[in-house]
Amino acid sequence: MLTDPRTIAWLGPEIVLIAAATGIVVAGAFLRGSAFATMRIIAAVSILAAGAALRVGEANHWMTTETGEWTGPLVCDPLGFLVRHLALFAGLLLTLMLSRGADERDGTETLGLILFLTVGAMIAARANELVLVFLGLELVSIPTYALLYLGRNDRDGSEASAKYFFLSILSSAFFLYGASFLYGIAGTTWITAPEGIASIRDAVSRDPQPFAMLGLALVVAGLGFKLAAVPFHFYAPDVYQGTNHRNAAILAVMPKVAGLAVLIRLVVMGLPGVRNEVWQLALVLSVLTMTVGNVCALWQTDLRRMMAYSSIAHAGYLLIGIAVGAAAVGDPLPYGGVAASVYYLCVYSVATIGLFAALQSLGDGSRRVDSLDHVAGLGVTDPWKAAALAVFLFSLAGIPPLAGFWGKLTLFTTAIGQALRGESSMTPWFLGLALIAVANATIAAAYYLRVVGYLYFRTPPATSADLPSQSGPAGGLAAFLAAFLAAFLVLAIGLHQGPLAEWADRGERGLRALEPPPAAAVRATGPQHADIADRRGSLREPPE
Amino acid sequence: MNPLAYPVTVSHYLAVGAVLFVAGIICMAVKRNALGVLMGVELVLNGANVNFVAFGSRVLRDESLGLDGHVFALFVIVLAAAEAAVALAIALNYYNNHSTIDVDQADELKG
Amino acid sequence: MSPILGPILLFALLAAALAVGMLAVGSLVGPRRNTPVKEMPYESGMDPVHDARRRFDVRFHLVAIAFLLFDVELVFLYPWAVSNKAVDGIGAAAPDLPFFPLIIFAELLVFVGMLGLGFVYAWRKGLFRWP
Repeated sequence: MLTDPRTIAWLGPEIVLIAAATGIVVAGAFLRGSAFATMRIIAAVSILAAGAALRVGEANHWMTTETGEWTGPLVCDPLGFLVRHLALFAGLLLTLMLSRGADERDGTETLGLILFLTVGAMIAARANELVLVFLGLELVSIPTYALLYLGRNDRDGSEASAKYFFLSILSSAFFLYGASFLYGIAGTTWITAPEGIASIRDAVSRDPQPFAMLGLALVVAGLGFKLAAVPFHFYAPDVYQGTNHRNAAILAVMPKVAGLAVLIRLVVMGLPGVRNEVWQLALVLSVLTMTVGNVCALWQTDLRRMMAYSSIAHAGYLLIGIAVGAAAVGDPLPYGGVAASVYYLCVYSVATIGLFAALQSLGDGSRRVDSLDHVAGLGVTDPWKAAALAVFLFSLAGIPPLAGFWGKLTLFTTAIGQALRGESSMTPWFLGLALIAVANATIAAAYYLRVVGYLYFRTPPATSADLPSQSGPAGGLAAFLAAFLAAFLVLAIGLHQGPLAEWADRGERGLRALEPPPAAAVRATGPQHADIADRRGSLREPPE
Repeated sequence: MNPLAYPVTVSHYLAVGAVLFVAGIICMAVKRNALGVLMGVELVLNGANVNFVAFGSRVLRDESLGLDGHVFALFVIVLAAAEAAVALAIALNYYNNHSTIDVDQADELKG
Repeated sequence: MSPILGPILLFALLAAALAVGMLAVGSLVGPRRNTPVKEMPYESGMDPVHDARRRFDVRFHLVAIAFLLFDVELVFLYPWAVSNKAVDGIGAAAPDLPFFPLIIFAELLVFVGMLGLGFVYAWRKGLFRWP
């Protein structure tokens, strides 16, 4: 197997980021002292440069064609394009929200690690090969361990990082063990492939044997941890509470971006042979996850702990789209589950990072904004930041004009659509799913609105002496800028949801173009190991 | 039948991998020492590794090189090394804060 | 003579020259300061004979981890070598691209360069300094 030269070209943005991250970390070892501000600008510029490389390299391509292009290890399609943009934007916000005071000591390492995990999410977004999927997931996880350690060193911080570390490795091991069975069934690590080349999709479609179920269950367990889906969620509240705002933002977004992309490519599109098991599993996990997350969030007083349960609940919403997408794989009609899920992921990620950035910008170095009481009366004392917080909370709750509302609406309608249109045995399941999701949205509104109530209808504490005098990270202008950017985007998507929805839709259509035609989905022939070199040049699938 | 002359097939390796995997999980569950838990992690990862190498074997498929499984195993080995490095920092930090590496003492965050 | 014998001979010669050269340069250039500590079997201040459960400095662990990382990373050279074995003309034909073997070699240089940067970072951070 020789390296396809185009693979290198398609990795351009990732290469830019890796080079910048390596340079920043190594240069930081030489420049002691006040290199942090400069390095932060370099990191932000390199993220923008990677975004520019991404647009120059691919944007024109997606304007003229909608189908994905199969290149072996990397699949080049609109879904990957969208998710990579999301990862880059999240990376930019995270870079901005580093606090000068707390992160200055290991500032260059922190910046470099954030760039590395952005690259990890970007690789996971379009990996079509088990080794590359694993590499992307680990490139998100390993910098996260180090960031948890760098972010907070006290008693709670060390407990949080130890818990996350051991559970995360266990989940990686589950994923690996499941992936080994998928590899064993197919004899290749490629997830999907054009006609005539062996792939996991073909092998599992041909012979959905018990090993495929075992592999599926283990892989979903591993990815469920990344998404913080019940019953793999129990680490989240402790870890979020025991770390700082920036790490909580990373944990709430980056593993979910990578995990959802892998879930779509490997489980939904890669295992249509066991699609009944996949949608049943996703549906049950979804119902459990959103219910447990929302109900437990109701009585939290620690802000990050509440947001941890909120992120669990949102993982449940994301799984609705996965269930619909898996149930409709191979269906000739458009189904929209994957598109709705990706749309919701974008909306959720921006609002969550923005919320943590706003909380971070509230800290003034002498206190840390941890609990609900700390934000009481903020509408009077700091109206701009309070307004930003309110925008994010309303969006997460799904109040109509904002982005979160459209995300929830799309998800619920696809679930109902699947109930009406799918096989009759699915109807009660998906109707029930939609009903439980709507009920959950109302529960969720309760605790988000409670925080808004604290912001605007409580009197601020009389003096700062009333607050526990913990030394926390100083906020800073950059964190506020990140919050402002995110708030702007939440409002913009809410008022003008067309472009993002269209890209999410294109992502799903691009995935479907990579599917084999329905008649050829189940074949009785044996695996054919064609040489890739022979097929080079004829890989592009004809448009529908 | 002479058990020593029985041919070794891929299933035998899978059995070894499964034993390693389960032993690792049990080790992670019952060990209280952080480094003991880390040993459990290594066992679990190597259980998966044995699977990959076994599935890549020529016994199973003679028409391909089966290189994918071996490459995957190499990646897992490197991952395990990287995680051992991070684990040291985390265990040290834990020890500095708790004066022990007994992970059962980590029960302060709850609510 | 088999066509692969030449490279093997060259490789053996280079390996021998490297080993002898390193020893020679070390004995010519390196300073000689013999202290009782340096004469010890492990040269690191650890008494090699003692109870196995004694606690020792965590820095030993740090050096061991650094060694482990650089040691294990080199494992990636195996798939690089195996997947590119067609390029030097012994195996199947290489694709007809200009400078293709050079590109393959550059891949390796990039990888080793990244490892080198990691080493520079560890060095600057004082990993190899024993205070």
